[in-house]
Amino acid sequence: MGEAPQSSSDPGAPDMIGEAPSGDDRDADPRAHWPHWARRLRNVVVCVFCGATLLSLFLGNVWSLTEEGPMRDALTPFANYNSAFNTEQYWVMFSPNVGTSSWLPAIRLTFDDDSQLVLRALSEHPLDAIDSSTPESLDPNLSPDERRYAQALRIGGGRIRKLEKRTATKDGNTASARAWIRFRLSEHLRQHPEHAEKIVKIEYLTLLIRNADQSGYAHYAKMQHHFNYAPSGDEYWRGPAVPQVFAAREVQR
Amino acid sequence: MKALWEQQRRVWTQRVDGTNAALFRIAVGLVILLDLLITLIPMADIYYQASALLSPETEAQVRNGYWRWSLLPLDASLGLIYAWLAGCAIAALLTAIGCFTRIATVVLFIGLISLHYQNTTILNGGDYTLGGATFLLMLMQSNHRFSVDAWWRERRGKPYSRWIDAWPVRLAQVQLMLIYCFTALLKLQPLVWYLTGSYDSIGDWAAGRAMREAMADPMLARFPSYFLLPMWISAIATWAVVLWELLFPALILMRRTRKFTLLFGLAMHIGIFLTMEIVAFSFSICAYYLLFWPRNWLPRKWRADADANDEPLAKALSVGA
Repeated sequence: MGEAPQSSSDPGAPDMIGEAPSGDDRDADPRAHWPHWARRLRNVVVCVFCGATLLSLFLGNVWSLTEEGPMRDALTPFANYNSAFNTEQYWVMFSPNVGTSSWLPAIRLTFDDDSQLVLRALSEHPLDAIDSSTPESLDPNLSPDERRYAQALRIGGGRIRKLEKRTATKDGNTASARAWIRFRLSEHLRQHPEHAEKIVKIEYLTLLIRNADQSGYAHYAKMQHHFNYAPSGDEYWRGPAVPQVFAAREVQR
Repeated sequence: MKALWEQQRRVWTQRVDGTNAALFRIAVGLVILLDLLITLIPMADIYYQASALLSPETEAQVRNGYWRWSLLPLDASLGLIYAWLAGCAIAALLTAIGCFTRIATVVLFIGLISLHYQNTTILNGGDYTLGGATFLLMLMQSNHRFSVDAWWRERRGKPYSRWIDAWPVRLAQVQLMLIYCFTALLKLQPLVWYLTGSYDSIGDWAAGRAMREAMADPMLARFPSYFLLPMWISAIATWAVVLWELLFPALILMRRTRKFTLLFGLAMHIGIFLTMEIVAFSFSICAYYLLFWPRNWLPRKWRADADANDEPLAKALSVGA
């Protein structure tokens, strides 16, 4: 490594990307003034490093193709090597399938007068047909036109979209779902502080949105209820107190 | 065997034109800078606070058991986060202009990896490619051309050589080859599962549906008008993409197909950027293309051997000639 190269004017020389004709400047060893042992040591270090990195880049990718089991366990150190150097190898890029639908999170708030309000995902746009903040908009019995997903020009917001889609795709009471609720709810209460006293129930829902079909529109296809959220049971909640909503264990007490 | 060894020795040890690495550095620095300024800094209070979208439990799990690390604590204050982002932005700018390049790339690598493992739920493929790029840039002599460092050295009468060590450039080139090749294998996995009886369909890519479904996804679509691609167009485009990705390492290594391969990839990524909202992915992956950019596509004065009267030899040996 780093040795003075051979002249590439050899007609049998292989095609190498970035290769160019040799010249004095190019062929000069920039480390010629180093002691011999230091050059050799450097060459060995670079050689070992390149070998380890190449192996890890390749086997880190193989790791991403394997499922849980001894093979994956054996390859995990290579994946770890990539993680440590920020060269993680897991290239989804619409694989293995693109899919025909997406999940998005939502919160349904119930107030002490039995009225309800739905807080939609940040990457979602208001419905064309009906008021998206009403719980009726989640009714799967509505006609396709009424369940139409609104279309909008998207510039930026790709990170939020990714986060919300990932959050909603996982089932159940996950830490990322609770983080999303914390943010969405505290933002709402910041704009409507009067709601904090009136909320009696906070439900975490996910909505399935089918890709556009022949009509040219995407549609809401399914709503799933996951769990009830209580700010008082969440150690990371920093919003205002919501006194009428109790954490499950407090209710049991 | 000896010939193969000798060829590989030359591929990895022979010094290469520093122009490609310099262009790669500029592109990576600018993409990271713009990404920080447009998507991360304005939303930092949302992305990196436990009271907002950061889930400390999730991130602790992500770090636990792997060699993932971050110098930022999960309960970092907003002030520290903003200072960190500002530091990364300054390092990205210095990287792009090539000022104190070695230090800037080291700071950028540490800064970016710490940010990435602070909230992994907002990451996308573009972040991972940029993360890898900062690690490889740290090792490259990318400041030998088009940099403040080179200008300063020249003023002092000690100009850098225009030729640089090949091995970090080769590692980055291999990285891009593996990205494309393995993503194609992942796309074709359902076909293998189907053939082995563990899956009930051959998957969107083998069936030629992938492009049609991607264009009809309202979460991704950039424009508010969805249309279903006719199936035959979708099938041709889908298979062309997956075949191109699968064969990318061979196509980019062969001189005859290198230009086509780069142009196909550029067209594909520009198309993706125009039709889908996927943050900086298209730009970050296209930055790697600059490492493969044929020398005879570069202005002559940019080439390391610009002064040499060696045009016939350059034609015979240069990439894509």
